Amino acid sequence: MKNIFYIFKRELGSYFISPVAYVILFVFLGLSGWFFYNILAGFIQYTLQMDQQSAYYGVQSGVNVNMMMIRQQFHNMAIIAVFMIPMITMRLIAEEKKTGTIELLMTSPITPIQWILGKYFAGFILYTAMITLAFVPIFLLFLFGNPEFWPVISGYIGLLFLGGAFLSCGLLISSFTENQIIAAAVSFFIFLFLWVIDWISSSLSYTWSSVIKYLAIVSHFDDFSKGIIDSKSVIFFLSFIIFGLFLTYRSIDSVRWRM
Amino acid sequence: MRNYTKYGGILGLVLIIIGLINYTMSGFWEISSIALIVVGILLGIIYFITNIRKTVEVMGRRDTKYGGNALATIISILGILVLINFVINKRNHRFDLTAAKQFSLSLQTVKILKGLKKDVDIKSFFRGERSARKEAVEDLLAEFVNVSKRVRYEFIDPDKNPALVKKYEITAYGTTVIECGDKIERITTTIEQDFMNTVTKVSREMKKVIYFTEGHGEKDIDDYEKDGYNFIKEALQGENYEIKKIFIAREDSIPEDCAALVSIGPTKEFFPAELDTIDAFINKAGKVFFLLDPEPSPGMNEFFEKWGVKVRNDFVLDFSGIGRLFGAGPGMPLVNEYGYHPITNDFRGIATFFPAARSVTRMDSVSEDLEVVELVRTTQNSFGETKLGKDETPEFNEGEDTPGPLSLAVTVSKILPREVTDEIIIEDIPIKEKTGRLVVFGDSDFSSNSFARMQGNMDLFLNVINWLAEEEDLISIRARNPEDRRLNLTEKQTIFLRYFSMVFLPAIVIISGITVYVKRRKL
Repeated sequence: MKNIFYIFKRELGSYFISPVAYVILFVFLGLSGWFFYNILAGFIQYTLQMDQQSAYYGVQSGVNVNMMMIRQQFHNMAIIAVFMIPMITMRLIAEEKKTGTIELLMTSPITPIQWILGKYFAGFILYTAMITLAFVPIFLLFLFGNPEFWPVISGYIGLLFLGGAFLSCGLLISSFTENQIIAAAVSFFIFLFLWVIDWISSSLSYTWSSVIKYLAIVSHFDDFSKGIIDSKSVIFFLSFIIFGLFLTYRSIDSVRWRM
Repeated sequence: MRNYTKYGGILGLVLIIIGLINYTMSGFWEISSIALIVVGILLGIIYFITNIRKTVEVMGRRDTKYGGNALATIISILGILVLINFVINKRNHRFDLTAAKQFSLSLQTVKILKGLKKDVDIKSFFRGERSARKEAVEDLLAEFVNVSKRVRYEFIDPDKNPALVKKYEITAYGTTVIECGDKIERITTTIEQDFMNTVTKVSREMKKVIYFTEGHGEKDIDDYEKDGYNFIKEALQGENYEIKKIFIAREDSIPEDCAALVSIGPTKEFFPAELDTIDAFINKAGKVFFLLDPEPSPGMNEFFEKWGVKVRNDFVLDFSGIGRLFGAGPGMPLVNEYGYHPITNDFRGIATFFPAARSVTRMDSVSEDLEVVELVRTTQNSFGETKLGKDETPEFNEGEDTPGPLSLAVTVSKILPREVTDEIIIEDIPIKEKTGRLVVFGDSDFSSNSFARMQGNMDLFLNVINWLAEEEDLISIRARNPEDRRLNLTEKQTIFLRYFSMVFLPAIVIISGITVYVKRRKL
């Protein structure tokens, strides 16, 4: 346990000492802030339109849902996050491989499981910081209206799960190569593939498509962003994370007998 | 030679995979898929035969063993995770955190589904590709099946099943067919309400008939205007009721098939003969629903007093300011306090409001065989103004006006003595007691076309009808649209949000980054 924490601290520290964490946070907050403002402006417009309409047509009170705006923002944040996560994970293992410190790690009393978990949590905490800061504007909205609270929380949880899953995948890919750029590029590619996989699924025959649809991370995330917490989505994300971490462990371990 | 066979082996593997993908894509075996797979297998065999020795040698190597072991553990972990997911999938719990619970099935739906006595078959005709509508239907049907085992559904691709399309006469993509026994209905929407109404229609055994009175200037259920009642009519038909109109004065008695008799906002007095007919009807386990209005519409106070209902000649005003939320003045009392009654049991937290109402209360003393319950009560800040006119300012005058809270609606149940009913008494089988029911409201506008769709108004009307027609298992709230949650922003506030999210937050990050950098340099 202590070992995991030690690696975690070390990795997180190295994120924040180098420009990496700051650049990632800056880019993500800038983009999500821009999206936030755009959606806000669009929503205000829509509200005005709806009010005008209901004034025209009599007492049909506008069905104005605040969730229309916040949910879109969740979706945008998810997409940007998916692009940013390779940046977070690319150096986690690839760097160790490149500088040779991986041999130190392997021969140290810290087991691979421990340092894999430590690194994973470091990446996860950085991701959580990123998401939480980007949520501040959303929480500010509560000052200016009365949005539904719990769906915002469920969206937050969904983003955390989503990030957790992609982080484990990124970590895995980072363990395959010593070149950070390759790790990042391949991660991008794989993430994109996972993201759009359910579009392909519908053209397949029914049994395959239902399996693929289940694997589609987007639909699980959608539930969270709508305000639904479904036990099967929670289990799905957890399984994804566990499997990714397990594969990472296997990949690191294989270095031992492949030498 | 060996190298070529190695490439051949890899090519063979690739061909097999392509062949399989081809199969899954098109859904059936084509010549091309079969050919690819066969060629692939052949190449693979050739590879193995020519490289047998190498294969054996590779098999024995230590790292192959380790690799094999790794693969085995990976597959087993994957298998375990897949199993766990599969199990949870069958028994999952969905927590709908939205305020309007717009993503869960409504209580109404759950009750109907649980009360199904026959199997219901649902076939949904959607094209293979993913679409929002198809997903909405899939979600809905999956929830249905979760609730009741009597519901079965399948998705049919109309392009691949022309025979079924013809059989069910499908004319548009996105049509869903719902069958129960020999009744079939088709719908093209994706809303829970429509699905449930259709399920109710096909699974209900016989149709109940609601009669609406005519001849006293009542509001018209066929009227589409603001004062009309056709929304209610459509809603009732959606719940498998048949609608008929009746001129009571012309009839000797109310028809046998009448499940409920409704009089909406009569502006002229009923004849005494008509009131007698209605009286006799209730005493024979009939069900009657009166929606009165304040003066000058008649109150028929004497008739109602016999049934334990006090209809006052007043106009209810509510000065608590709630009416203003709807752009209405004090003449539109808002109600969120309800009596203890199956009609309003699920109305906790739901508001209803009554544009122009007179108070209808329980009489102080009521005969023993009647059960009278006040259904709907206004706030403390309301009162019944008895002298409403242009020259008098509406205010509470002690002694003249009645203070709030005031009841605007009352239900009456009369359990009928055995001799009146026509049951044959069979030994050991308990006979359900028959009741005559009467509901009186002091306002008829609340569920007219202009107001029906607001708050709980329509639900209240429909619940009354349901209670009268003795379909108590149907009473609860219908499916909801998402709530109205707005943002109130001034221009300054909008600008603040803009700069905060786009400039301030990223700036903080930069500043802290620079701070850390500077600190490190100092070291």
